[in-house]
Amino acid sequence: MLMSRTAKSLAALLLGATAILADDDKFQLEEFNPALAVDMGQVVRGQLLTTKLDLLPVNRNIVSLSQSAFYGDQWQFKAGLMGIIWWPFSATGLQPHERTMRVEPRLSIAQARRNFGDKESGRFLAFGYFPYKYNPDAKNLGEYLYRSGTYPGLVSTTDGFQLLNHAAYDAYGATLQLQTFGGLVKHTFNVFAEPAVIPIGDLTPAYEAEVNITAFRIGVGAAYNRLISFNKDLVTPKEWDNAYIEVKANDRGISPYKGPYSGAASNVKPLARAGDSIVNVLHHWTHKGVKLMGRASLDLGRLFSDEIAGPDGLRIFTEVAVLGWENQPYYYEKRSQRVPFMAGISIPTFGLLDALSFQGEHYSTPFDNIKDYVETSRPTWKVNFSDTTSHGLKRDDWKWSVYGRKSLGRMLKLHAQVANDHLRLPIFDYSYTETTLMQDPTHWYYLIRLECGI
Amino acid sequence: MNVFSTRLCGSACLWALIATLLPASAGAEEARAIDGHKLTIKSYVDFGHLVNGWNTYADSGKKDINMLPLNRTNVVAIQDITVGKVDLSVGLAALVWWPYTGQATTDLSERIMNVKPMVPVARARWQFGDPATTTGSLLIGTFSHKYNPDAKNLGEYLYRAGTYPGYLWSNDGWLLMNRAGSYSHGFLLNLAQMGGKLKHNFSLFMETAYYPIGDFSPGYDFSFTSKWFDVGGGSVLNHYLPLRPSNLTPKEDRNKYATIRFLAARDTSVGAPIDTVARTGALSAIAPPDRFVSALDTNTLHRWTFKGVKVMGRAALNFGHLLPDNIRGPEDLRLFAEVAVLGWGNQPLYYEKRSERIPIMFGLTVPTGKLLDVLTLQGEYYKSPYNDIEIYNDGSLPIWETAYTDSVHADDFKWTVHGKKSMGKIMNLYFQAGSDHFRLTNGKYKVSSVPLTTDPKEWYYLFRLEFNLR
Repeated sequence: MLMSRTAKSLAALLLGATAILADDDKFQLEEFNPALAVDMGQVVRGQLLTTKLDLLPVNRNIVSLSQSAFYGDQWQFKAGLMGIIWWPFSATGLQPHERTMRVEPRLSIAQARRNFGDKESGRFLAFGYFPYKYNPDAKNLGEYLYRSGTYPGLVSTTDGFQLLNHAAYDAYGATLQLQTFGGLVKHTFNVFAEPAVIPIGDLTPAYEAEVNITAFRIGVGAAYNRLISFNKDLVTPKEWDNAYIEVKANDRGISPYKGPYSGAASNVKPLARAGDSIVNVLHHWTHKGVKLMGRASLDLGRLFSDEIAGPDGLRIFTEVAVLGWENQPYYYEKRSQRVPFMAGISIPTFGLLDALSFQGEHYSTPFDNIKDYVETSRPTWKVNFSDTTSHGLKRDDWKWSVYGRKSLGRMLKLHAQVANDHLRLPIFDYSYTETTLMQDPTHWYYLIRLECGI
Repeated sequence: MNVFSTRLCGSACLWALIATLLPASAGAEEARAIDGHKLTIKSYVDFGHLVNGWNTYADSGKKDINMLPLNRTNVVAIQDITVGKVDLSVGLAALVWWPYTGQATTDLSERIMNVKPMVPVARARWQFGDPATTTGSLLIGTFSHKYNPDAKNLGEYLYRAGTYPGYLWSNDGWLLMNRAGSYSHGFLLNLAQMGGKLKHNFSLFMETAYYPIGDFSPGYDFSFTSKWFDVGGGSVLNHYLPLRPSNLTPKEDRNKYATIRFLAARDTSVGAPIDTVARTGALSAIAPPDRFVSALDTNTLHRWTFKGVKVMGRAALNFGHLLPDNIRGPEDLRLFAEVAVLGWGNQPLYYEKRSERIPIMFGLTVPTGKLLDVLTLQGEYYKSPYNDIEIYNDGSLPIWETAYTDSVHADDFKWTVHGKKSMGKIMNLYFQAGSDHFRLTNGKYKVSSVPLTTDPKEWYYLFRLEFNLR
């Protein structure tokens, strides 16, 4: 092995292995793996609320150091650190804290995996912190089951830091994979912890099944968001701003009303807080809910040689999800408005590129603003009640994305992406832009990445 | 060709160039394992004081700085790997530091010890060429670029200094020493000829710290090194590849140079004269003289721009060869100088005299009989009448702040002493003292708008103990 004894011990410590493992002959380190990704791009046309964004620079530089190890055939370990050079999003970037380059330190992975059978058996239990991906065709759009919200059903294509080639969910939890019928059917059982939105730490169990029949692959899945919650008051906040109220007909000159407390007339709110009998609380929105997912793909690349088809071949694929099966008042009254549908095709390039993928998506949610969800962890969209035209956003229902990749020898890869997707970027205080920056079919961005690593 | 298509085509062409050049060599190495790898782990501890300084923007009663502690601790890990002609260098670092504001604040993030994650290097490099003729390398990513080996503290103007305004800095507010290089993000093509004696650097660096972020500035610098002398020069076209050209000349009133015609209070009787007077200057600063009560019209003559050209020249004489080998250090007895023009084109009011935009650095490495690895004395003369970048820092306009003083020349002279002693392979000891362009950072990413050592009698000292763990 390339690593010296000193590095072997250091790596073992990083992996959390005990000193006993470090000395055991079964413990083997793979090569220490540094990697670099330099992203350069622009939001060519975009918009945040009423501010137009033209030619906004979007740059990242990602450094990654990771180490893998094996203990016999049964255990695999992987640990990695990442530093992401990034710039806060700002439409103007005038103040130092709005424009100064930052470094975001991250774990890229901290995972242990126990194989049942040999490493290639496809049966294993993995736990820790790791990127999780179930749909290999989703190069940008898609991967709804874990990446998307429930209530509200926000759809993500990036975490704002890793902008490209990361259509996965950064999971904190455990995944168990089994296969039946000679590998024809793959079963996956997941339990993931909520990492960012209060209440943090709630557990979401999920199940996926995938069937592979030669060129055809079909998958389904269900995730019960926050089924196991450790603070029920936070899962369904009982605060006034999270209340759906009714003002009954009365002879006091107060207009009847049925809707969010936040949208009630100013003379209603004191009455509600005082417990006046003409105001009833009908519902408090909850984070808890069931997400469903279905996907299918047809691999026509088998009709061509590998040289023509390339690694991704000619594939036609689709994915659909329901983000919150249960209806709730006002924001979540129509299930059809919580159904993102993605379809796409990966095209053979006769060896010119490793992959070329076109994706489209339709998602007809009438809302897009997640300010309340991000800042106060309320399970609702932010709505401007004084401007009802903002309630029925239609122009952003359609999204598209084109992704390409080319390997340049062993160490280098070039990626490119052009899209109108659910791009949200972090601002200086680490919250996110309230809405996506792609509000209109004419909005789009491009990104080019040079990736270097072994 | 608009800006967007220029940038996209430029990016695509550069990546395409890499794509066409690399596979011929990289593909052949596809089956090859790693040729080389090295893990570097370093740490250092800084200890010192700002012995005497002045903070223009401190609260009243706190402007005079006396024995302000300067402490830093840093841990750096860098992994290098080589596969054929491509090598990768990536690193992570953590800096322990303390913010400095000079102002009362209840915000803990501006007072307590902070840990700042940093990326010291993140670059890929492709090397090519024939050592007998021309060799070169192409670097992409984030890395430090240094062209003047004699500039231990002052100097290195071409990439470090501003253009409009022509500010200078010796440190970035977080890292206090050994910062005489440019922490750059972009592309750098090195070519070496004549066995390495003649070197060319073609740079395309992105603006990373000041508005407008993301613009690219093409640059070129060269150096010729011989036994007895070095010469070098270069030029940077600052913001010449902007993302949005309109951002280069901001439209707000503070960025306008204008003439306003004022009208005197009028005698309304028939035949009474109409009295007007014109005043020219920064629009936001023009005030009507006595008797003149209203503005008749305003004519904007100029909007200041960030865009400009910097040029640099340097030279060094190496008399160290005159010393006996047994007492000569590798850098002993060098006389050197560097001069630059920070913004070739003149602009009204703040940038009317090119001579006021010329910093001149000079210095000497003093032989120490191998007691120290290097002992460098540097001086600098820069007769800019301005030194306050508050408007540039906070308001992102390409002008100096002159609210506190119209002309500052007490700070024209700077000095610094820098020394290094290696103690085996594991430890290095550095010492630095100076009255230079010393700046500190508050907890909100803002670096001092005015250097904290303006007068030559205001100075600091720093000791650094550096450990090379791997």
